[in-house]
Amino acid sequence: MTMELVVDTALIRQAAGVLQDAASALDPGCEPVWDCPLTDESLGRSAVAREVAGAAARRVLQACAAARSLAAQVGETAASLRNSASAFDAAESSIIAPPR
Amino acid sequence: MGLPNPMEVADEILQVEVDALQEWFTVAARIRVLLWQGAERIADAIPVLAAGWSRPEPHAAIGRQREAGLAGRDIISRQVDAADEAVATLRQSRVLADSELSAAESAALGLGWIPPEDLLGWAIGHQALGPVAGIVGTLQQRLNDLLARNTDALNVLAMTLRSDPGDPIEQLVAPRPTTAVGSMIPVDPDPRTGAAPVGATGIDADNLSRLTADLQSTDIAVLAMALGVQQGLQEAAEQGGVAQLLVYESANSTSQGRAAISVGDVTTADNVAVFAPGVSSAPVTIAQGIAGAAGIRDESQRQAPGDRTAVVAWYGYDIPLSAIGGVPQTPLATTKNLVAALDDGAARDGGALMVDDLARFRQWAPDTARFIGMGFSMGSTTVSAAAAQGAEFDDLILLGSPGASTQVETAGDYPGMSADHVHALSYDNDPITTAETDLLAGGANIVPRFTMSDEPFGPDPANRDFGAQVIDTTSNNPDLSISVNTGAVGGFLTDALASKLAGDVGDLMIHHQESNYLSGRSLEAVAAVVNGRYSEVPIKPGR
Repeated sequence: MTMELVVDTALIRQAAGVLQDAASALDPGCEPVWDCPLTDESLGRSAVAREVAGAAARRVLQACAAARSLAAQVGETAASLRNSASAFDAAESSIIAPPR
Repeated sequence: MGLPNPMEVADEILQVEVDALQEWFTVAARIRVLLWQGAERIADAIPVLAAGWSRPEPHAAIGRQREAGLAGRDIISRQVDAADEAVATLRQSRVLADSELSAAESAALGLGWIPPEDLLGWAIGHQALGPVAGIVGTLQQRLNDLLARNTDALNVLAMTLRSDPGDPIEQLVAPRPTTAVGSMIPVDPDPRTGAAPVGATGIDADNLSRLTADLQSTDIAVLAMALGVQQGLQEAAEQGGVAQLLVYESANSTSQGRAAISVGDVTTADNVAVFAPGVSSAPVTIAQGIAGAAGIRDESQRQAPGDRTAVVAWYGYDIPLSAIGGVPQTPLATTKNLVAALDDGAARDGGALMVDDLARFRQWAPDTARFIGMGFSMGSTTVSAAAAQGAEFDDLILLGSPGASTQVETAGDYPGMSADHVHALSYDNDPITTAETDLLAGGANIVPRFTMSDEPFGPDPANRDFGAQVIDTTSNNPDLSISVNTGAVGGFLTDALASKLAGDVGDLMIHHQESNYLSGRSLEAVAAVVNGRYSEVPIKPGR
């Protein structure tokens, strides 16, 4: 089966640029380990109070890590697009290059 | 006056650190905004890429990244909103509690009471007990109502915090076959070791290399242990998808060796439970402990599907009575191993080893991973000793414990841990958990029972004075009634004693079993602690 592939490397690079901006916007810039101001009994001594204190510390750090992870993935996608655009350009130039 | 002290409830309401809660969730609120803004910019790229690349896969992949970002944002959003609600409720309760205290004070002043005189003493001296009891009773009721409101708000927040905002984004990374142990997908085990395939970067590559070498050994002790560990790895891979050999030290003629196998991937786990077995277990029989570890993991993940749990079967201490079913040893080494059951010496030494092992496990696990130390019987004494020596578990669970080791007197003695995170589960009909030794657990048929006058294994963690959270569940097995009739003339006393001994041995065999502590409601409670869901753990007063 054949399929027609149409590419515009300028637009691919433009999309890569937008994604790079997105990656920068997503990066929370926080440290992998942040100090949570909540201690074990900050919200009281009940079981649910201790559960919330522990879970809050964990979840906010996980949210931070998630944003950082997405930023990295989007940044990688941007890099892949740039590489693909270069590869398409190279392929095209090798095809249309005059024989020596 | 027979009334509870309202100031205890007032303190619980007034001392809540509302500002800390609010401050912490401003971080989450900021990340919520970042994810929204990032998702919007990703959306901008989609039509551009669609115009520049005719195949749909590239922009579809970007679309999935955007959706994952938005899904993560939605989870954070619910958590931030619930936190805001909780902050508002807690703050309002503080104001109202203060107001109620002022109103009660004004009412007492109106009766003629002059502070700082003790209110109760004044009421007795001035025949004003009735009115004062009314004031205090009303105050207590209103404060209880405010505390209940706080608890409701925290319950709502706790429920929203059960979702990991990172899950949608982590799921973006398609699972792919990897040569490293720690793969998130089931893989065919290595035919030589039974473990998932090993790569140069696998956290247990060195241990598996040593295991592979030991499988070729001509030393019967070395080979026997290696075969046992190989079987354990196979069991763990079958039951948990991922098996990791986190500790491996060969056996020899004077040692049963050391081994620890993780059921589940430590490198991605949200919760890492480290389980130490009781007497008579040995690394050569580690496969028998894998089912228990897998059961804890399964139940933990059933209760918290979004959280990943790894359970490590830690056979890392010189387990008393392990020589009985373990690899062949010299007579002297065997004797020392049997005698080790008489006190907590092996547990204390093992605790130090566990501290060192944990330091390595922590390096492999995510920064946010919780570590839970668990042990059954002498294993509980060992994890308790490890905690006493600075293991810094997030939670400790002592199952069927003969004692918490002589290194602690109360649950408040563990460095870096609060007593509220120390859990004890001891069945009342388990004789090992009373003031008697653990000997019969593994050697009922070889060693006579005796009672120690002191506490060779340390304090009973289920005792009220110890101060742990005592889990309220009962044995999964029915009691056994044994009556012995010797037929001897005048043998009533002999028969009674024999029946009592037989009954105790029966209780031991029926109730003091690792599987009995890791099934039914007990397993549910253990898993709730593993997940940090303390509000779901049934608690009762200690003995």
